[in-house]
Amino acid sequence: MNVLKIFLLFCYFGCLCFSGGNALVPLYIDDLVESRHWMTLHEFGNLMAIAQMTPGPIGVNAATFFGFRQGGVPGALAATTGLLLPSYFLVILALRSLDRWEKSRIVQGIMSGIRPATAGMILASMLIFMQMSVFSEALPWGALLGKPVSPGFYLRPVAAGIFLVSTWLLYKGKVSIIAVILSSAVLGALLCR
Amino acid sequence: MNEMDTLREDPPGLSGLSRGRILWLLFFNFLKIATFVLGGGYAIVLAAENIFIRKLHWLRDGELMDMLAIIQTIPGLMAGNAAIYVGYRAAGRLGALVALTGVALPSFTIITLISLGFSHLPMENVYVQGAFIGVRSALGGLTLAALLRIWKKTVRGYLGALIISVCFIGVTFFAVNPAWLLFGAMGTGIAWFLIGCHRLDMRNLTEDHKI
Repeated sequence: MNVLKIFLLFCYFGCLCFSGGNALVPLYIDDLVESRHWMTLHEFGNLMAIAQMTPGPIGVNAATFFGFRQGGVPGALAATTGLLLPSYFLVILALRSLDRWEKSRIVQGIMSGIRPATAGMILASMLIFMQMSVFSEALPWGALLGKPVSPGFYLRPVAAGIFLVSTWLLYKGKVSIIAVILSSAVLGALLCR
Repeated sequence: MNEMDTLREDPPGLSGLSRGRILWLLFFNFLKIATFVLGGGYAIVLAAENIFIRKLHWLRDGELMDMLAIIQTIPGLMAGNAAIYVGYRAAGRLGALVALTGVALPSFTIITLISLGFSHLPMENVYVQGAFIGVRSALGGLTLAALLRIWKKTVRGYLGALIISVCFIGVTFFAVNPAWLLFGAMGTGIAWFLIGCHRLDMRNLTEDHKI
């Protein structure tokens, strides 16, 4: 697998991942696992777990991993660059057109549709974070319909405290997000089980 | 409108900073964000808002909504798109490139080291797990804080309430691909405007433009 090929393949992924890196997972599975056989599904699962738990956005982590496996350090560089390059041009293009056509009805229509959609997605992503921290697993919505609550479900009081305090700090004050994250990591390491 | 245009030309936090300093701050802050905001996604965008809008005042106060709209509709990773957006607004094309490098560098370094076998990850360690739980709780707080700030500006009006509920329910309970929901929301927004229903929501929209 040569470096140029890796680069072009990841450019293609970069053009196709709408609404963020999560859209990449099915693309990767289809292409890299099922048609190219770069790795087995099991290896892919392990790799995504590492990508999730190491610093850095998951999408970039995964791209670096794939690139490295196929072409060493140059391959990793080609994959990462390839993944990010298309959006470099597209975002700048979008910004310039937004500034230019800000008052057109189409742009206003698009924006007035996307703004609330964003709020809905952010709400959903907040729930995902909470189900991996404040709650031990997914919220038992089934209980509303009378299904029994899974025995593995519980609330972590310390995590709930961190959640509430950081919400308050970040909403009110001018605290830096990095300071909040670092202190939560320390608190969590000492107190969350 | 005039006032807004001047603000966009010259956001308060940028005046007085040399170009080199702006580029360095872009690089270093995105490096920090990419390193510490585990997982990426919306949390990265909101962390960038925390630093570049609320702390440094490099963008207009209400620009978060525009930023989110562009970042999630343009294909690409949210982290990368956020870096390009902020970088371009602050220092043009070079700024975007520098910020993007900051986002990619931690992943690139760490994953390369892991792949080379230089480090093994103590993932099962109980303290590491606890730290992850702590960080995720804080990121949940970050998202809620941002939601509280944008809620009034987005949920007002019939269209807003409808789209928020459909998107939240679709993603959470039916695992609908967010891209489809976003395209749907864009289409609905355009139709809403072309048919003229937006007059019903006029109050909402003028407020939106003020933010």
